[in-house]
Amino acid sequence: MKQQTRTLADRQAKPLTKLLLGVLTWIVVLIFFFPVLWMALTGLKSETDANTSTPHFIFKPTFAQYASVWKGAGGLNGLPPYLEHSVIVTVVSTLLVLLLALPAAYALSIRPVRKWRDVLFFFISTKMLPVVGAIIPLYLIARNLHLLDHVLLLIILYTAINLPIAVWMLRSFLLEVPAEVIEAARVDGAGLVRQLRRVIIPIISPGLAATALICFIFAWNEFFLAVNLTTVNGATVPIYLVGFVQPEGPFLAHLSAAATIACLPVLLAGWAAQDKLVRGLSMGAVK
Amino acid sequence: MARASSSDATRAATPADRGVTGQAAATLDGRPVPGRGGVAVLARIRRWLDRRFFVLAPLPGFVLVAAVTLVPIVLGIYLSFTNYQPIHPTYQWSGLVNYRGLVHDPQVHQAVKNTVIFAGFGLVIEMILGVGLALLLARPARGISVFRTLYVLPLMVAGIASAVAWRALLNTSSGWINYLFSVVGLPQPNWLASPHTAMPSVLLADVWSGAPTVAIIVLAGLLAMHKDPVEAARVDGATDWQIFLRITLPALRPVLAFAAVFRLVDLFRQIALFQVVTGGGPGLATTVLNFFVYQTTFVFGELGYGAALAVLLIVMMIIPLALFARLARRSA
Repeated sequence: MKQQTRTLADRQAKPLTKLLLGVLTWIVVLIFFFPVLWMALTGLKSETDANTSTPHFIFKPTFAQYASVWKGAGGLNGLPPYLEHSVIVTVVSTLLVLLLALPAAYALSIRPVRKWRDVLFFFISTKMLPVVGAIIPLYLIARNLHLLDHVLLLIILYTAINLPIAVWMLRSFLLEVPAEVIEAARVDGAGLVRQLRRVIIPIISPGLAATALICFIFAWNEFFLAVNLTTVNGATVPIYLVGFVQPEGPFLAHLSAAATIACLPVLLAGWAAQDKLVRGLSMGAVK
Repeated sequence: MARASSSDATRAATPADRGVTGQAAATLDGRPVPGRGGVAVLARIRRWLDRRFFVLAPLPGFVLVAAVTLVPIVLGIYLSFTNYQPIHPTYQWSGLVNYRGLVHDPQVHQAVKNTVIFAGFGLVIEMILGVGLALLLARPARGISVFRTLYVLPLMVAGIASAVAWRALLNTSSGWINYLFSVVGLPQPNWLASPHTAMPSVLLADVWSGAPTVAIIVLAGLLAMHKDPVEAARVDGATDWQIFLRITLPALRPVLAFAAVFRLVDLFRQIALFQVVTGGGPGLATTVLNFFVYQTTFVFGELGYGAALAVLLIVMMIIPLALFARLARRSA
């Protein structure tokens, strides 16, 4: 236990304080967990059960909503085409990001060129711009290139959006690689491609995996660009959700089921990457 | 050329490497043999690429990011000086008309006010709750790793899905919040329909994912903190509160600054919640600038005016962006 970090709340606290803090942690975490739980539960209800005047925990669970989300029923579209677009866009853009980011991060961390700080800063500052400021021109450009409502458009956009995070994240991992290892690889006379493939990638593969998962999460969850630039042929899962939002009550259970399915891959990815999540969120600044 | 030949010498010393990567590596590593034509050129190109690698490697990414972010922004600034509307195919340069318009537009005033309220309150609440949450989770209690897994759920749930969830929770008749209010005998407002409660409702939903975001960053900072000063202060008889204010907080300052800037930028850019939970209403009660740009552009179809509003938003964000720039440079 001595190894563990001690903080303010820790000290040789009185048993009562300790108990109270424990209970508080339970309550707080449950509060944060509850909306997700409730969404998943509501997805298992019939529409009448979902719209009772008081919320119920006890109900007859049904997979009808999940089934109708999957197959589409009563004039409602099914989710699979949207899922397919989401998978294509997320996977391809994540791979492209890694392909572009790894050499960039390697170069920027091992032997920075002049003005490299500016390059790095440029990368990161674009991540901070409001997407809404770029959406109109993006729409017009995409329309002229006949890319509207096309998965390719989202692939390009998500690659560009995730690239800065990936470069910074990978750079933070690369900075942890002992300089001697890289020097040894270079003295060994290996070409750069080989240095990357044989020396660098094996060493930072956990970091690479974490970076991929972070990019996956961001691309999967992206909503604003998708909703404004695609309608049918390139539409991703969030657009399916938005489609059911307008009417007040009638689709609550259906929507919850769909939202639960939409969240599942990301929750799994996030769970797998939880140790490195903070690095992704802070773009490598916090470890 | 001297450099190339010397590295060739070292390469020749490790012939075992060649077999692994096959033909391509052999051409790369081998000396450019005169008379082998294409292969020699290829080898020369490869070596040139190797030497220029550190300049060239970031280039494709740089170009892509610039094309996707800077080009649209510059084009947007241009559009903001026109009266472009998609339903009228022709448009003209209209100078400062859009900007003059937004200065006198009461809706814009309201949207700016709402943005400041939303971002300001959101930031303060999320920072305080986030730090509190991080302190709770930094304790070495039994099962704490389970909690550390659960509390990050909100920040992985898609913004749109969390908006859907909160819409249901805030529902006047079937939502949990009013149910809990009725149990303890409080009045049950129509959260999203009243101009007084709509903004707090959206804030609540944003805090739900924002506080854990702050917490995860602060928690990492807490766990990486040196324990010695805390121990020393404790030996000297400092109270928990003194330790927190004098040691923990100052040590966390860089981490806190990062979290704050990240949240501020994201609060300015929040859109899913407004689109799904309130639609900017009732009236203009929850119309923040980001959402107003969207409405003006895509609902009202006034692209020129929308572009001018977007420029206003970017200008408003310059302060957090500049703060971020300083932090990023310092850490780089």
